[in-house]
Amino acid sequence: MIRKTHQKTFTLYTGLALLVGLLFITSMFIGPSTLSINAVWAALVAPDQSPSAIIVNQIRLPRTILAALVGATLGLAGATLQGLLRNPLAEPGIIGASSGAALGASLVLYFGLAEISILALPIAGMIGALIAVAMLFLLAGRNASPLALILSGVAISSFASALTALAINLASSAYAALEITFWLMGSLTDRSMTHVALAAPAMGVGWVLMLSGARSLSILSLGEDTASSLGVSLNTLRVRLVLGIAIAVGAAVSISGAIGFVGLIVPHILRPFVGFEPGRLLGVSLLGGSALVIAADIAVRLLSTGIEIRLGVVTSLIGAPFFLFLLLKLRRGTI
Amino acid sequence: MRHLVANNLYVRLGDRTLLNGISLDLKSGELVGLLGPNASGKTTLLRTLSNLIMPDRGTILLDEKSITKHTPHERARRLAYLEQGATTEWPISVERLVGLGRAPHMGVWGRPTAEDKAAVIHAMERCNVAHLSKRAANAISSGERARVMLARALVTGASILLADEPISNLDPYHQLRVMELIRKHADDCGAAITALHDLTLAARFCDRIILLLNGKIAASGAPKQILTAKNLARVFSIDASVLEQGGELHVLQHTTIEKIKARLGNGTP
Repeated sequence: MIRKTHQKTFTLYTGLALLVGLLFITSMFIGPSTLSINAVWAALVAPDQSPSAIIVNQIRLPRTILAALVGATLGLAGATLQGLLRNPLAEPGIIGASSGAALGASLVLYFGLAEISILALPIAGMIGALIAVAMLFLLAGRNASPLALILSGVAISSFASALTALAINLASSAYAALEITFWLMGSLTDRSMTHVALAAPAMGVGWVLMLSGARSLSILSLGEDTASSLGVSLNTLRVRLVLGIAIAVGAAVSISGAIGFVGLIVPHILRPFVGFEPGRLLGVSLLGGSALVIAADIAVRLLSTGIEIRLGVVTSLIGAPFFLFLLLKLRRGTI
Repeated sequence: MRHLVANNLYVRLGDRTLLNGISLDLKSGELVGLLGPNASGKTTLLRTLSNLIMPDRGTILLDEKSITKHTPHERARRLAYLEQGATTEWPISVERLVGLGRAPHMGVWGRPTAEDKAAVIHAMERCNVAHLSKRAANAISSGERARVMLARALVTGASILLADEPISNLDPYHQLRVMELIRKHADDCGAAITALHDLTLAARFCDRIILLLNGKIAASGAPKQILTAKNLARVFSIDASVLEQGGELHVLQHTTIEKIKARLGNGTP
């Protein structure tokens, strides 16, 4: 009986990992120049200065790795938030972490600091996310109810977005305004291995913080009082999870810009496969988010002719109607 | 052995005093019924005893050690709290839900052991919910849910059970079933305090009754001494008669004190 569930979990993880792997490999072949299997393989195992090696190692590989990491972060953060707030509509955007990170990064672009150091953008993103989350705790208090947390998140989110808009509004040059606007749309174009090296450790720390709360999130589905009575320290859990979300999402958003709705869609699709248990949703949402963003980034490259369609635009175009669909489902009480 | 000792508990919320100097103890094998009108402090008392609310004053000893000195898991292995109307937001299977009650026995990354699995099966069988194990816990009847949640509380292996109105909203059959389970838990070297509104069932199943009124213990003792017409009038503002038949108490609730006063008022010239 329980053995069977373990087997099912194993199958699910294997399936998702294979999907991520397959999409990852596919992504290496998608781009303006067509490369043969041999050329990609040669570029990966024995990189030289040939054009194909440069395309694979300096353009497609970092882009795909970042898609995998950013997607994993967004999927995991969505599942974590939904478990924590016990609300299937929660998303990293909702607690203000994404908009905080976006504001931090926009200010860097506004003041032209991105040219000074490649580190400026990710650091500002993480600081922005952390400030947003710190404000969330100040606003909502330490023992915040889900509703208070969501309302505070919406308030912070709106304020951060307003400040970002102000930055665009006041931007000294049309170029800076355009840069911020495009960056806000979310994209993984022209990212390097340096970006990977910058963002990966922070995302890793955030992941560990989130994943360590898995069991507690499952227990939390019994309600806060019962969870406390079962030995879950609610305050510690909240701090650990929200910090994990801020660090990982801050790093992700600062690299890729805003890629919305991944954290909403992925956990929702995968939830029935893990018996609706919030804690068991975390690991699979990490893989699922990874698969979704790599797939979306492949779609972006396939669909674009001339002007590239931004990744964040694509996920929002799929995500927003999905959000409405979830809302209707929730109203009918079928979630 | 005295499992739980509370000494002079005060709990304030704003300018309201929810618990006003409550002392009680719970011995091994005992089932204590906590009775009182709405807002008399039953839930506050049970939550305070479960360490979910910090009392403004007073101490609680759990197995001879201050309840705050136990680690959260240590406390959860000794004391189980069954929330009123406990439910879950997600359609988790009954088996998994009951399994969550084993959390105090597991680490952060740990997997359930054979012992945990056996405990889950045992608790489900004891509460007669084994046949529901694959069903979604939020899609079963309230009687079934009450037993599932009781299994979730018992599976912790805690000797002390604090249950907040575990039989409200249940039909007479399930009321008896749940009370029997709690009684059995107490008899098997456990101990329990349960908040109740059914006076007759309280008299039948409990060793001791505590009557709460305005955050104070109005009376405490054996059911026969406590469930008297006089006490019921004072605490619940009802006119009731207490009959004894075949060694059991039966409480008949006639009318409210207000009605009697109104009637008397009309009768006087």
